Amino acid sequence: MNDTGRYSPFLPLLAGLVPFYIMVTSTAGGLMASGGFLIAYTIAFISTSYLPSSFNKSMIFVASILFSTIGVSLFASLVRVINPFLYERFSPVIFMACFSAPVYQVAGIPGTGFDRDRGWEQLAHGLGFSLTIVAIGLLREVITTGSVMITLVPADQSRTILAFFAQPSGAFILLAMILAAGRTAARILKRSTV
Amino acid sequence: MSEIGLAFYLVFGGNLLLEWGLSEYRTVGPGRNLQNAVLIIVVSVLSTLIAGLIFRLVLTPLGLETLMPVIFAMILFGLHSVLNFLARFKGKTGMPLSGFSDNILPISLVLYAAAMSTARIVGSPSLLLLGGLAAALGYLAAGVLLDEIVERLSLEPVPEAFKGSPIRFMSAGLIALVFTGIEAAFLIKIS
Repeated sequence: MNDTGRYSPFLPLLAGLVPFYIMVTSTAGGLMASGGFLIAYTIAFISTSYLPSSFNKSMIFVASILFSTIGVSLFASLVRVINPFLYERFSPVIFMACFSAPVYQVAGIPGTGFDRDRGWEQLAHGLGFSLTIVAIGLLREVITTGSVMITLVPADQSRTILAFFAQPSGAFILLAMILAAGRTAARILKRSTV
Repeated sequence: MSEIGLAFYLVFGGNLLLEWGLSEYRTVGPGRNLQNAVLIIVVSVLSTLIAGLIFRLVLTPLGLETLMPVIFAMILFGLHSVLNFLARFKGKTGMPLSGFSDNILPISLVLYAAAMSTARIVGSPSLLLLGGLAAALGYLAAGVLLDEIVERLSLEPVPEAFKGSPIRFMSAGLIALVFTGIEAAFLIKIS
């Protein structure tokens, strides 16, 4: 239930992304995690939408998850070929992508013709979720080190500003601050339009 | 961050909003918390052990480490089927598989086990057990401790902007901070 007493469809999915927010401490990590997540989410959605309707719900779920794990494995292989260091450093967050709640959710709902027609909406949701992972990684890197490394090489950890935000507890506090800031901004906007 | 800490944070974070009742999908009542925590330890240790052995004995020699998620998903579904078979054998209802909305426990298991298997600590059975305990603690912390904190917070004058989810995240951050202290003092030396 959200703060207004209504259930929000996005909050459970946000819950599934919290582990990513905790693990991602840099932009490079955010890009790797979001890449893996987007692939897993997209493949899971396409699988559920196009698998034969003769399959039962559990079979569709298992097949979708397995297809998305294959996709993530291929993505990890590609990262490994391009830069083995990146793979060694970020493989845990890439692998986690196929086992996240949004992927489970999208794999657990067998598709219908109506869902297929609205497929772009689902894919846009997936893209939005993955962008939040990159944004949190970017924000934590800026707060922690005061810089952003876009060369996919982790930032110099020896120079820190607020090292606390690189800790898992810092991720929770940061999320709290983002939510509070968002709510305050929404309230101000609401007042200005009235 | 140690592998044991990783298990705690992932299960804790993964169950956070669901356990707070922020989702309509909460299906596990407080009475089942302890039972599920024990189940987390058993299944996560088993799945990580099997995944780790396959990783070391099959995937690494063949240079196919990137196939780990596929193997891991198969192990999880296999274990899930075995548990459901045992549950039905005892005359109980099995845990549904189709989607995360049915039960939050599979997510806890998956998150924990994914973290542990990718952290590759399967070489040490004691670490596996400690990791399982940490994951179970994360599950209980998200369920029991935060319930108490949220109840207590209702008596405090929380600033308007922080009411609801933000203050809950703050509380979660403080619990995570406590665990960071424990991790730094004891766990990081043994993992």
